[in-house]
Amino acid sequence: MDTLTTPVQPSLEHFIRVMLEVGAPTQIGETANGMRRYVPILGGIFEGEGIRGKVLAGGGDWLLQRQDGSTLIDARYSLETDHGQIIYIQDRGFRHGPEQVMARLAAGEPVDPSEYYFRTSATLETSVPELMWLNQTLFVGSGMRKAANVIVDFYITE
Amino acid sequence: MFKSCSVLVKTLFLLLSTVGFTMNSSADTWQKPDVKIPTTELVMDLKVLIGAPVRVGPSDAGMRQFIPITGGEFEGQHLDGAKISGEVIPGGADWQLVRPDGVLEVKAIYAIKTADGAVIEVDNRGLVASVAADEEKNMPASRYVRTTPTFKAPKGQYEWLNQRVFTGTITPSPKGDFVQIRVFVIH
Repeated sequence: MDTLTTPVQPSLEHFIRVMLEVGAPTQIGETANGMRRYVPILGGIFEGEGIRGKVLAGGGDWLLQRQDGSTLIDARYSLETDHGQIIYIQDRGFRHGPEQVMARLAAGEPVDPSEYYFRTSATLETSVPELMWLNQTLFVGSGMRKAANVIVDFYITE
Repeated sequence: MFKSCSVLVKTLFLLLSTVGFTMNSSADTWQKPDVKIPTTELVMDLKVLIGAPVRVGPSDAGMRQFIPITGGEFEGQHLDGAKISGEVIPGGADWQLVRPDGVLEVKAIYAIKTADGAVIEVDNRGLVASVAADEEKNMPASRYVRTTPTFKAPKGQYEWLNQRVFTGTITPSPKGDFVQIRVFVIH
């Protein structure tokens, strides 16, 4: 196959780390799409280079457990910077790993995040003029599930 | 290409930020990312043949048009490095929207067929945004072009495509008769 150019490897630049405080899951149950459960996002904090703030209460993650053993992540929530600027995040991706690892994770045991795959792609929306570039950038997330919270590092795909 | 813009914004934020704050958090691993930064690896390189754009017209969300996908070919590799190749099945399209902020949203939906007979749906959505020139850094105006491809593969050896996050690039051919799509898996 003839190619136009040498592929340019996208690079990932760290943007923010978000810690989400999550509540007890609500089982929606076996729907037409699979086993669906809802995890409320109660709050949290975020911080990056020159930007920080809190996670607003009222978000959630509508997780879908699929038959292939992977879990689809579909999280929506809002951030508020220390300057009162609001950013809406839609974050979708996958979490999966060896059965034993996922069982330990489900039991709330500490698990090294390198033992499972927890990656997302995120779109951000804001009306803040200085942050307009967030609307025009695609982000990749790398997550860690902890007992009482979820930590996601968001990277700019450059 | 995008860096100058984001660095500028970040610099502004640093100037605005107050000094000496600490995060008060019970998070055991808040401070430093103790995880390795995800890496990207090229897994699919597609030459997608395209037809003339069909104008849908103005809408509430912006100007819409679609680009017919008329065929093509691809090559790539599995996660273990085993080679894959095949063709682009004619009949898909890239549904495009020019947003009021000038960003072009792309949404290409089509199918590929591997040399060993698997048909895989490709859903490739993303952004084409203009990045202003930065004279101080001697950076010419450029474009930010990134997509988030997703796949629907049948059960079997291509199933990993259903379970990973990808990032993609788009390079148009000089004649406009095809686009080169590169798909990178996020490890």
